[in-house]
Amino acid sequence: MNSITDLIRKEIETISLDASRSNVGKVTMLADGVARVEGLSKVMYNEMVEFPNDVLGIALNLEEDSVGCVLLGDTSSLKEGDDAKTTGKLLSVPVGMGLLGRVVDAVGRPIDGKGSIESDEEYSVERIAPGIIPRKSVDQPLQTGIMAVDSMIPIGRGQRELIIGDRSTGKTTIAIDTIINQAKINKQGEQSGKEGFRPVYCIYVAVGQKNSNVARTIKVLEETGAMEYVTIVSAPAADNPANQYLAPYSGCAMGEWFMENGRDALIVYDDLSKHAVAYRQISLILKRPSGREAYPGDVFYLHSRLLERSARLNEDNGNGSLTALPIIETQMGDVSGYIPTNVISITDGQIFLETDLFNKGIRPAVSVGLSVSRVGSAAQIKAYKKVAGKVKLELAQFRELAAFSQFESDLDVATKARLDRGARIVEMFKQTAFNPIPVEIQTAIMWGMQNDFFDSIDVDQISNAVSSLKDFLGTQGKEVCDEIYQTGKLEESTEQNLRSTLENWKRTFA
Amino acid sequence: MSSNVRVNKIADLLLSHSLDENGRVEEDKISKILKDLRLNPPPQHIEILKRLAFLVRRHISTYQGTLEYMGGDGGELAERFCQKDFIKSKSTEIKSNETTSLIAGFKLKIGDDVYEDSISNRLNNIRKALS
Repeated sequence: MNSITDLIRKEIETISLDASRSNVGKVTMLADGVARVEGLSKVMYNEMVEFPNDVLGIALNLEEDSVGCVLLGDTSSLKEGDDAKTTGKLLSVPVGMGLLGRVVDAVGRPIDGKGSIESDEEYSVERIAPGIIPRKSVDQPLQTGIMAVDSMIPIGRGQRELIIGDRSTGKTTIAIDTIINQAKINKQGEQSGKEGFRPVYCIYVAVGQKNSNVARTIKVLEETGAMEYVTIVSAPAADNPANQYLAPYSGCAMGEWFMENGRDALIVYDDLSKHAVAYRQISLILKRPSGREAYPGDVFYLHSRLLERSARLNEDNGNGSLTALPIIETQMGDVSGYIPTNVISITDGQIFLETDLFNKGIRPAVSVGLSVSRVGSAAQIKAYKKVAGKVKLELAQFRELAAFSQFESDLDVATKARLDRGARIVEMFKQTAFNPIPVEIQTAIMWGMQNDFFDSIDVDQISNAVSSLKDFLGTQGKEVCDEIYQTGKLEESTEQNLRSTLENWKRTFA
Repeated sequence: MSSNVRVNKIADLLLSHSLDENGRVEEDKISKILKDLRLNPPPQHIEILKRLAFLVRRHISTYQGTLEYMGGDGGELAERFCQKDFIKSKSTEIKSNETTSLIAGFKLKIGDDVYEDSISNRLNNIRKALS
């Protein structure tokens, strides 16, 4: 009993009971999560405003006579004439390790029923992106575990790589695979005690998603054991547009904590098309002038200020990083839409997913021609760089030759060899969802492809062969894989070991 | 010039003509302005009057405060507040009312600014912190 009263007494002692000064106004209009308030002459831009029944809002439009506020939470109890008062605080969210394994809403409140968040630090939702001086170029890999991506479109820590494609082409799957792969790498690194190992923590921001989709994502992450490294920020379709607008910034603030504390983090924004739509809705109700496709004039700034916050910091600033994987949904494969072109120009490359490839069963449906990573091979380990260097060119040549070969009956030997190799590479890149492949196994498989180990296998058997080789490398080829993992290089002796391992596998597979 | 800007400009001008030497709105001047407008109504007459009403209301609230208090002498409290630095105009009028819902303490409102030190406010802060 005494301990309980002591606890309450201590809590009360921390509460400020001084005379308060605030600036007040009156609600003159309410519509779709937006309130117009007369008064509030001293409110700051982006300041939190308090409404009756503990409803909070953010001042977004400061005009001569009134203030436009977006409302967070349940607004059904508010009415015209209600008082609104300033709080003197900018919107902040809890940050830190206590958020890992948790599902929170756009303002950082837990929604997973696991109790309160253990965090004693808060970060403002809107923060200025790191400047030029504290940054460093991207040179450390962030492996997705997807062979088609890691070999041809490598992603580095601190990079912003857009995942773009039509609906149901596997955009979220690539992001979730990447998160699962980070968890696998984290566990492997922590167990092996590898020198200089840095785990990657993940934040998944769901904007405008169906609740059932978010629940499915959580289930996948829990089943694969990745949830302990992940924070999910959810602003589903049922949430008000203000929360959907804020969620990416909240998630980014949580990721920035890792970056500023010398850790590495990955953030997935799923997706920014819906984020732009939520912002358009708010802007139209706030009567901001609209431009192309009715988006407000600052829709580019909406995404550029968010994605610029992802960076790789130099050693003087803790050497942390925040990698961003924004997702954009296109309509009928049109990448020249307003929001897609904006985000393409902001990011450091894009993974373009094609509906046709997806329907042909080539999954992940990565379009080699339209996908690019501006960081390039700087974000690959040496061993992988050695085996994957030519693959994008080979695949591009295959696509070109395959188109022409339809009209030719007789093909020369060299052309036929290129077509055969290309068809095998396409098969090799096929991968099931939520099944990322460790980089050392990817290296061994790619090495096998480059060294003709798959040439004698029928094209329709390549997927089975890759799967069989993967299992073989996980058991009998573990030694050579460990060597690649530890050194990150493909020395002559390693290649010899790899050759003998693959010869052994080939005998068993045949 | 858009019509809104024009209305705002005219209303601003009318407000400045309705102030006395202490910067307060003078009833006689307002009556004269209203009479003149009635005799020679300008375009958007009603919009101008609505805007003028808004500006007058906002201006008056900057030098007319309300003091809600519970316990002590309200008149004396209001006089003491008038001497404080945070009240810019020394000619501010403060009307005081006894308000039982405060339990004890005061709540002073001048313009958009509210200064409060009351038991009800403290209890409210505790409720928010503990919820």
